[in-house]
Amino acid sequence: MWKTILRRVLIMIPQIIILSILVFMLAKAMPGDPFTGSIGPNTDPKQIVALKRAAGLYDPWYQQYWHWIVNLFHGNLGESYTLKQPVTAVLGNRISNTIWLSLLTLIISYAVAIPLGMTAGRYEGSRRDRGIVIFNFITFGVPTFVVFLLGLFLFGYQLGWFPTTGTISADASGFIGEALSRLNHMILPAILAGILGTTSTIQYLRSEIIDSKSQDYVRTARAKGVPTNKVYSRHIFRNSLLPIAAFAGFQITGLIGGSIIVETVFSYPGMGQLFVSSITSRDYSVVTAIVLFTGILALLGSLLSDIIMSIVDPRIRIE
Amino acid sequence: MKKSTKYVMGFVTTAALFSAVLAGCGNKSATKTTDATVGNLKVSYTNNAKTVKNGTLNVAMVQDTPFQGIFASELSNDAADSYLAEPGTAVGGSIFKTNSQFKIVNGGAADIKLDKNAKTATITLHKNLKWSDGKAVTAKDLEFAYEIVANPAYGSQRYTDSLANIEGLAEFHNGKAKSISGISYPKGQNGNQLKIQFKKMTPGMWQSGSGYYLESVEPYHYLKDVKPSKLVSSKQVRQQPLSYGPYKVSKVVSGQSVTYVQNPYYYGSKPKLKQITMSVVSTSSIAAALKAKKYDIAYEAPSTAYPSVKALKDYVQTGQKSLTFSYIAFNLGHYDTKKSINVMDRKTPLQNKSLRQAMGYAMNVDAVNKKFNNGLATRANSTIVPVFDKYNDKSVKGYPLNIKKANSLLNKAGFKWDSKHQYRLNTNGKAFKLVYLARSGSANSEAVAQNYIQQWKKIGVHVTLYHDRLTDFNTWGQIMTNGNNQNWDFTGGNWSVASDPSQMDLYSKGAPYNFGHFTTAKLTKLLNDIDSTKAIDSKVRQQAFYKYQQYMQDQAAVIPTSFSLDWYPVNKRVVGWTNDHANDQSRWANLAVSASSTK
Repeated sequence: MWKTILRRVLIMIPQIIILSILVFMLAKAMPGDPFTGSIGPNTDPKQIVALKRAAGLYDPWYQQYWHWIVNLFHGNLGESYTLKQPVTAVLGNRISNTIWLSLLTLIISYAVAIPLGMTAGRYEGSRRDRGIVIFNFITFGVPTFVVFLLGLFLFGYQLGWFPTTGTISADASGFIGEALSRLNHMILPAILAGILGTTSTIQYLRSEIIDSKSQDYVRTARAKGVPTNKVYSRHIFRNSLLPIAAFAGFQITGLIGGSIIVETVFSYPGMGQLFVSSITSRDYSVVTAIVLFTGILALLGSLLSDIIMSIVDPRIRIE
Repeated sequence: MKKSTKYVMGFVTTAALFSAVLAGCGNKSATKTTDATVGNLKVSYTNNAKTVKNGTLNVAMVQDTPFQGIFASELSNDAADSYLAEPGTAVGGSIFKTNSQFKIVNGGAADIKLDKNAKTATITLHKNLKWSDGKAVTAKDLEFAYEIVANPAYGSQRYTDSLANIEGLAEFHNGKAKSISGISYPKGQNGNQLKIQFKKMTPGMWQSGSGYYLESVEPYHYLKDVKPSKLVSSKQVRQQPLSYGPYKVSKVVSGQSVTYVQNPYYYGSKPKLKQITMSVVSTSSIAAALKAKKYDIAYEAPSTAYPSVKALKDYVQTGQKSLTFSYIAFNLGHYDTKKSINVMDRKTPLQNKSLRQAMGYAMNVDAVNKKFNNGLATRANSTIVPVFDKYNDKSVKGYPLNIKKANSLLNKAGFKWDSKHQYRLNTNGKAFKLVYLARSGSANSEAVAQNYIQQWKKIGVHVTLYHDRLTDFNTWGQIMTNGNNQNWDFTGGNWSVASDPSQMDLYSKGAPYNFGHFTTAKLTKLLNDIDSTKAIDSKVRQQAFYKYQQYMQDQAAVIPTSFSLDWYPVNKRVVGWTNDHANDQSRWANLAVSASSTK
């Protein structure tokens, strides 16, 4: 297995090189540049040209690419053109915001989805099952931004239970005070996003449990007199987790991707919002860094999923 | 936001539209407002109730992205940063006091004396002006702002040809000189006077925001040890900036909020609030946030939220004429990059001014503003924004909707109707089609563009969209700044202009931002007249502006479409709120509240 993992990691090197070239060229192919938004009667076009030249934007693409790659190997992702800060500082700030929010969202999502999925599968056709299926249709069908806005309006503004904007209160102080304030700011978006994110997990789990119920090994367990609860918790549940495990690697890497909608509605500065705004403002250095970073994580996620699968189901081997 | 000169992109999300549903009505209040209005908005809100001590004020910065947070105007080009810096400086960030039309008057953090014969400006700092660390603001601090702008190592975007009118600044910028020869210190570097030597004097110099000199000041003692290339990302201008205004920054949560407390060294009367917190709020939730009374004032609230917020009885709708106007520009030539001039040489039916005028008269701008801007924009009569009341020529009427007149103009000019195709023919009898380069950006952009295309169809002018769709801002900007793209016939855009009304940078023969490339000898003369030394006499300048606007109207060089209003909802507990630019220096120091929490 270790040999396989090493081989997969080595294969990733040319994949990452190709990815980096594609990312760089696609970013440069976008119309406009980071200074397009600055044009105006009091901004001298000559000054814009000088700044573009200083930033190397007039160099041939391969020179720009080489410069970027060399800096990358030195841990320097460049400067953000619009935020005027080192990209590493910008990403560092946003990634931590996004990871904490996504982690809480994921925990809430699984905490809600697994019991519901199991219940629906176990009591297929019952009122409970129908209720859960309807819940699933609602979470699948309703536009997410409507839910976020209604949640914000009801629990944030009307009832005043949760903060309504940002990641931390302006008056929070001290380590514990700031940590609690951050947690408080995450609860509402995480609950709403977590509940909306249950759809696929519930559906997969329900289908798998229904399938597993009629499998031979279940029949055997029942014939041996294993109590029903134990049949579900020991035999069916573990086997039904396979499709969820297959996605787990991607979901963990997806933690840093962020969500543009939840971040915009709650004015929560995270990666999703940064990615979209950097594309809009043609902030090449940030765009390429994010795409490359998420691309690498996607490759790692795929590997991680395979490893998780092999742990969950010993019959699966990575060779 | 008087110093900002950039395109107004105006993103309005679908979510912002939804937010209108979320707000409702509140409680009644008996406080009064003053009579001065712009559109449906009050310029000032007078609350005579007794103020409370140690009050706090919550301000919403309405935007969907975190703010940049650069507290040095020389290095920032973000509108939000300018607003966020106001309590620590002044409205607009200028050290000079102005009247309502941005003419500089004495009485601010600094006074300026211009000598047209000697071609100098002498800036004198207020004798008690101090930074929030207690150190005096000095002449060197004034000069340091020029160093930041002109030294390329700082990476500022603010260096312009207008500033190069200062003796020695260009040499300093190019690295040929180590100091700026045209800047001197009559009372020494630690004194309170700075003298600037110009190459020539222009009438705009008497206006704030003219761009011929800087109106900001930076703490040299605090920033001098920061490496120039690192200044923009340093904690000194992002987390712990010094200020000279009534309040000083006590905490910055990066991209999210700024908290101000009183500056004990403020040169003016003691500020009245204990704390001010300015926080980012999304466009989609601002109406609900105001309904829940979370904020006292909202900056940059989208016009889509206006109907909901207007219904809130606890808020007064205040505003001011904005420095923004929108326009339609016709592609009549190209920009010669070698000679740096506009050449009006394109073969297009639009060279006929009757066609341009007719297209203006066919536009139903009032209906569009009513439907999509909720009254926060009015039809423009010229390209001189009405905040410059003295220079905006009221006799120039612009192009009010008049289909009959438009048809008459086209008939007289020889654009005959082709009943077979239901469109008009060119004056040479051939069918023609115009390509409209319309920008995307707002949820309403498509509807507005299609509406105008229908209007032009009514007068027989066949218009299609560039590549049959709207064009995103970056592509549009690339086409415009290229200056040689001949695949479009006319476009729409907005300018947020400087607080000097001169339009040399927008429509002169050499202006790269003259996107339509309309240029004639007469226009050059009229623009030169506005900026001539004779026009230092404001009456001469007024007449020059009038003639310019009359000529632009007659030629339909561009079609001015709308003037915008800046809208600020203000909670009724706020005391001392005014949008009158005459109070820009003292607005924040005078603000107070009449209740301990938002009503």
